Amino acid sequence: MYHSRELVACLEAVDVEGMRRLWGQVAPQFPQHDDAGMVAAIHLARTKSELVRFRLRAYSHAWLIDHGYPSLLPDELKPRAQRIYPVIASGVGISVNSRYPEVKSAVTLAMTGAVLEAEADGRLTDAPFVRGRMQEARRYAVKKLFGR
Amino acid sequence: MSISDSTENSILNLVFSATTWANYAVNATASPETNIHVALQTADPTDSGTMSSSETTYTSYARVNVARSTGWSTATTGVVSPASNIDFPAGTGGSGTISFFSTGKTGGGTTAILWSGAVSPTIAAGNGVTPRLTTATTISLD
Repeated sequence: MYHSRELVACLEAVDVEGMRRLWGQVAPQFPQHDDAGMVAAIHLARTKSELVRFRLRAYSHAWLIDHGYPSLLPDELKPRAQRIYPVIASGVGISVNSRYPEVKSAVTLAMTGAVLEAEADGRLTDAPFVRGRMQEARRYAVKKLFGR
Repeated sequence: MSISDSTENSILNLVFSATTWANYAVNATASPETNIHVALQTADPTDSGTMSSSETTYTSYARVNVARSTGWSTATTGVVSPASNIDFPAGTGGSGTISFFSTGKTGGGTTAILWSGAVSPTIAAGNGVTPRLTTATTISLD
């Protein structure tokens, strides 16, 4: 079966139902996404596909970054895309203070790791979740250092 | 010897939220700072640096004011966070990897740093990118 035209149409329209039906036909052996997963997969595919109009790829690039997902838009196209849809690049500030530099460094490292794990889970913009992970990492690092 | 959680919270609330520390300190009565300036750095400004140290230079960058009245959470367990995301101006050119942030007095230039820390994940600044420090940002006194 050859569904290229239908796939591109679904990508351009972000047609979740249509894409799920086509995906079930062309790749039944692979995991089938729920609605949220399919929307993310469509945006990811739009950034990669050269068959999709550039403005739509640029939008998907911004959408993916805004939702904490990686984008597959080639690097050379990113500046052009970001002129059309400026992206918000989120980071979490971590200010740890201790009179001992090694403590500061170890706790910062643990909290930074917790943020990166949250990012890998696609939850970088979920502040309560990220804060919880950071505090847990901080407690663990302190306990490891001081046993309390 | 350590600082109690209560004292840590009082100091943070006094500095970041202009809240009186009962029986010890009140906010400046003459020309109090109404905002905390937040800056972004591409390297650790270090304890001896200023807000200008390693400050990012992407085009259109500017420090951002966060109000001392409402801009910060009430400190708990020696930690304070911004009440809302801190969005910096969108880049219109330039580049650089933002890996640290600092807070300090308004006015610009080589202002003394109050608190500084790392930014995770780092942010690749440049054209069309709006750097944001989320409300998960934590500033601790411990």
